[in-house]
Amino acid sequence: MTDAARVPSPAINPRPRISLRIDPRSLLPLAAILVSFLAETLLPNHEKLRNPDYTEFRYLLGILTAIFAALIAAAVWEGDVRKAAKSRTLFTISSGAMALLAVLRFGGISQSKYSGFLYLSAAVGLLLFVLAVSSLFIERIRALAAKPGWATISLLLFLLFVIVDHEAIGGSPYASAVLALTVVDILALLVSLVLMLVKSLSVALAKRGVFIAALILFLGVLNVVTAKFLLLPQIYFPSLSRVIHVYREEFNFLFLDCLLNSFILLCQGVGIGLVAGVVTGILVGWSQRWNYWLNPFVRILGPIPTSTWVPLAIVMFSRPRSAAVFVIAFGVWFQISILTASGIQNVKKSYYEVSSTLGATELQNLFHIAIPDALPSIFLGFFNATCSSFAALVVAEMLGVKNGLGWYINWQKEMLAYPGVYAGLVIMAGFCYVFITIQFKVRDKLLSWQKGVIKW
Amino acid sequence: MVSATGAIIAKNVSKTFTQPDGEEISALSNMGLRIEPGEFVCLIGPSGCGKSTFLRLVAGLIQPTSGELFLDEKPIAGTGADRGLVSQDPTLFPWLNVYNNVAYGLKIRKVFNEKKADAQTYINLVGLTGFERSYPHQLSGGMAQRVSLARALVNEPKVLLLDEPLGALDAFTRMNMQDEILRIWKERGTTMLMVTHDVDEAIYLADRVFVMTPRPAKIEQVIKIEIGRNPNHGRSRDDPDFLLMRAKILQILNFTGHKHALEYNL
Repeated sequence: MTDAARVPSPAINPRPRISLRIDPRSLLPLAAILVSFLAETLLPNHEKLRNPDYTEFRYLLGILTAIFAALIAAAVWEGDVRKAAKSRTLFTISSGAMALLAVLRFGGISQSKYSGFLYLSAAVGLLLFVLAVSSLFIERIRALAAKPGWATISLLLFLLFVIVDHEAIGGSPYASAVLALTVVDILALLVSLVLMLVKSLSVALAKRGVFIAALILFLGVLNVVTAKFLLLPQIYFPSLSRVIHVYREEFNFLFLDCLLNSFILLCQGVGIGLVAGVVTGILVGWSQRWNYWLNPFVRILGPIPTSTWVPLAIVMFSRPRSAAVFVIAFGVWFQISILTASGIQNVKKSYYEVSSTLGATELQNLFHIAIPDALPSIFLGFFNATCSSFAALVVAEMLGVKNGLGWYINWQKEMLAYPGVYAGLVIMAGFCYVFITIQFKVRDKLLSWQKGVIKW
Repeated sequence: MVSATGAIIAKNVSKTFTQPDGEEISALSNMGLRIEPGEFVCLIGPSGCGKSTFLRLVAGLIQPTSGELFLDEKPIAGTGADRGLVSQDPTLFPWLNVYNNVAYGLKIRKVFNEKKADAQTYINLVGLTGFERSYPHQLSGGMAQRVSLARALVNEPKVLLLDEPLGALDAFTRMNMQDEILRIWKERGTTMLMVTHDVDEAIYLADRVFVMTPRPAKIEQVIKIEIGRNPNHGRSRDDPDFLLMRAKILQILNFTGHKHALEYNL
């Protein structure tokens, strides 16, 4: 046993030394911000439509500066700070603060137009808080609580609260407490999110630095062209400050009425279309008899463009909302059913044979072989369908729906209020991006067995 | 633990396939045979002689045009978990990992909860311990074929139908797998019916070799291999009797012309 003493004990890792070196490309975004800011402040504003003194572009640059400074700081300190335990604690603090705030605000919420929605959000916030706190004591849920998704949700919920209730902030001690919490929460969440989301922040930052800097420079040039030198028609090409001003003025309406409404409409349409499409596709792909009767309808009705259904949809449904859902669902149904059917028909016959020799019945072959094997194809159909459903959404919102993103953009266009059009477009782009990204995440989770998955 | 079940009887079995242009092709005609329980039988012959067709008939994947097939006195009608099939292509389900591929038969027959341990037992038996979470695309050809073997074995079939299971493997993996199959056969006592192109493989493994010839597809000769097996693997490949047996089979298959026959007659 004396030999054991001579064996050197495993080297204890020394505390990683922090290197303050950073790739110069990471600093490019900050340089671009500086250039844009100088151009914005030094050149006089010439925009004469409405109020010429909008300076929201400076706020945007300020926020960007804060974000990039935080990112660069995090990248520099990465070696030391990037530890799961610390980000978990940060997450706990932040979502705890979030939930506390939500509870404190219950009084104010009840008078809000969006109270039902806010109560729901508050409940989710509290749930997250309980999850985060219990993760400190219960080992088993620790990994679950540290998932970046939860932090993202709590951040979004929190921002929602602050924005909807922003009148409450101002003067009173309650408001000061809220403000302090806001700062702590956003900072904590930002850091924990960055640490959890980005595996190697400094590499990512250096890689993306040039692109982001170019993007910021583009905004800066756009600002100079529109607000400073008036090189483009003012009505159609408003300055960035005026576009951002729309968000300040109509935030609640844009996000809580229009975005939420579009989201719900899209979910209903896509959901119904998805279920109908998968069922039709399975029937057509699996059963000869169903194929005989259904396939001609799918082939003849399916390719008709969504907008062509509008006149019929209005007659078929008494409520314009149902008509809008129908128009979206129809396009989704066709694309998904075609690809589901082809996926099921292309299942290798030998899979069925092996499954049968292992004792499977016909029905078991359908659920255990055909559907899992067709899943990649079904998801491909779902992806195509989702992309075209955004187009269908805009068409659907012309059917007398009271509000929505597509409706808002059209309305602003008719009022010749182009800042609103651009504001709407930006939200639309972000919305579609998030929608498809979530879909791809779900797909990657379900189809992790596939070798070469389609990247998004 | 040699099981007393797993006897296969074929009575005048014929199978004719109809081509799309209406022409009929006879894959098997009036085939009759009896395989004893727990026996290891190899079907050997050139391609197109109906070996695989016969295996698929026993598996119940296709029905004979005329004649009857029995498993332990019961007529074979359709597929069943009592006859496992392993083919040249492992055909693993790519969406399931190794464990779930092996456990598939248990889940399908709704006995997974009672026989959960079996899946692991057979994964260990084919030497894939530690690969339970791997997906088929991460496995080599030999490993995939082992999984396919374990998947068929987990149902504890009375008969294991092996359709050139080692055909696509390299020489070393193949020799390894032959010993593996022999070991499993000795351990489980399952009746083995194996189709192969490889005369050496047939002599190495089988109790009896059925030599088949095409056009008309029939069993030309049944050869009982009486060379003793080594305790831990099959027969010695360099045994003079082994070589003689090989020459004999090749002669039946018409592969040895007169000039070669001389060599063996020495």
